[in-house]
Amino acid sequence: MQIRIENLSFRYLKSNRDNLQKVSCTIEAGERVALIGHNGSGKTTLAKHLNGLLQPQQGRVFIGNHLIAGESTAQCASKVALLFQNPDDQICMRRVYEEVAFGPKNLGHSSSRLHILVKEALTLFDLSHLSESNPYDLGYSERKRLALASITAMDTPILVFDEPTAGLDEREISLFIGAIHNLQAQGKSVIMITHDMDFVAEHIPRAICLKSGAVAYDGLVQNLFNNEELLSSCSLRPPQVFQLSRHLHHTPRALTPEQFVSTLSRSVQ
Amino acid sequence: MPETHSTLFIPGDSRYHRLHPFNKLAYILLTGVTVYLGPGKSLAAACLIILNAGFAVEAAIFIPLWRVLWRTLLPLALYMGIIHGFFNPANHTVLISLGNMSVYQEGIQFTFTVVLQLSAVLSASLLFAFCTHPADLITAVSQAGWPPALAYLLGSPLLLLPAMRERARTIQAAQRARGLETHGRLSQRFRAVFPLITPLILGAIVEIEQRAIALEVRSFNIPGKKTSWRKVTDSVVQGFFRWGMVTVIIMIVTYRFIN
Repeated sequence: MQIRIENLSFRYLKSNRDNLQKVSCTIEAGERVALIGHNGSGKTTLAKHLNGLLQPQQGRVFIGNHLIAGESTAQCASKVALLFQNPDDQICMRRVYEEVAFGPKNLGHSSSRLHILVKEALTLFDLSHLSESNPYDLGYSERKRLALASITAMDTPILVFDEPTAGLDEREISLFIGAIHNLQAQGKSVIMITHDMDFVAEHIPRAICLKSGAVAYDGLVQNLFNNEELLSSCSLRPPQVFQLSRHLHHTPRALTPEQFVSTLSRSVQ
Repeated sequence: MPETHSTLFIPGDSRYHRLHPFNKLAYILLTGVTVYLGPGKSLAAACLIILNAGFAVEAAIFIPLWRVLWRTLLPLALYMGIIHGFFNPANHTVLISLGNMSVYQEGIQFTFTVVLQLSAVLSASLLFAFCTHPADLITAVSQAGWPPALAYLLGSPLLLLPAMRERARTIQAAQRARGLETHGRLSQRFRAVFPLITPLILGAIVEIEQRAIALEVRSFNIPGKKTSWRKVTDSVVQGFFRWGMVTVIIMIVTYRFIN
């Protein structure tokens, strides 16, 4: 399902500047997009416009062909699922299974479909063996995976993750990578708000960079990392492998360790 | 971000802002004792409300204070007005007849008195909350030589309540994003309460432990005198008024016991 944002502007009540300034972009079905920028650049504010948590003061937001205007977030939730940063902001049930089922239940899925969705999400994030546990008995990273599974189980065509990799170890990040590839294979769009440039470089082809509420860059991640001035003004640093590649004058510069090794071995030969 | 986001305190440099926190606390106590135990309950409450309004104007916080006051007390006034207007046991003077039911003067008078008393106490309390930085209260308690734990106990609600309010908003947004309908029919709203309350309460309990650890690792309970970065100014005149208020409070309580 396509997302189309046209000239979106927004200012919080007590803010002395526009938190979003004439933001326009289109995200196609099945795309993986990173929403990046410095703290306070408007990433979360933009994400909250996609499911009606915030309503545009100027401009329009379309999900598919449907204009989001005056609809409740609960109504938008069948199209756009949004994961908040802190898993503890959403965990409210006494069993892991029930927690994952909470969102799909609200969306009115049949009980047989609900069971399949919950099972799939638990498997995707390696939580099946904990399905009877109390979520508050789990560690932070397990609760984070639980929150990720809860959002994934909603089976929405668009998923927005706010800092999904924060607090996860390498194995858990691998599970998340598997999950986003799985979602893309189903034609779902995945939008990630993140500061993890290594993750972006390796797994996300497109980046939208916000700077003080305005779109400073929208395009391929590779080209963004080549623009040092823009990166610096957005308080971003390219991944170390990219910096090393630049230092060695590799062309094109490597985004992943595999690419770097490949270019290096070619140059040695 | 303005400072009002993290605490109820509204920055300012008015005379009321500069008063010693104990004077403002003594004033709240004096207001409460006067309106509930003193003579001429409604008249005393009305006089104190006018005085508080004057203080609020001087401190440039009249509008936020008024906003909180009416939002808190209007629903209560309406609810009490209906209950007591119709059913107060002391009712005997009919004010308005509505078919078989009648609204009575005594019930309305009782509601009016209670709302006036609450307005006086709440406005004095809001003056304190809006014009006193929690850190100033904690410093004042520490400077007076009281235990730091007591200072924290007094100051922490002022610091924690706005943070909890912000967290409640985030939880509500997170659950709405999972399809929870928090508006609309009463049954829907009722169903929405549990998923909103659970993370808030459990989160607060976890946070208490984290705060306790954070305080402990920074030597909160270490014996001996601590250096204070903030200074709360006091004066002989302020001390005179403070003890004056305490004396009046004792006199009113004594008067109540005698009568």
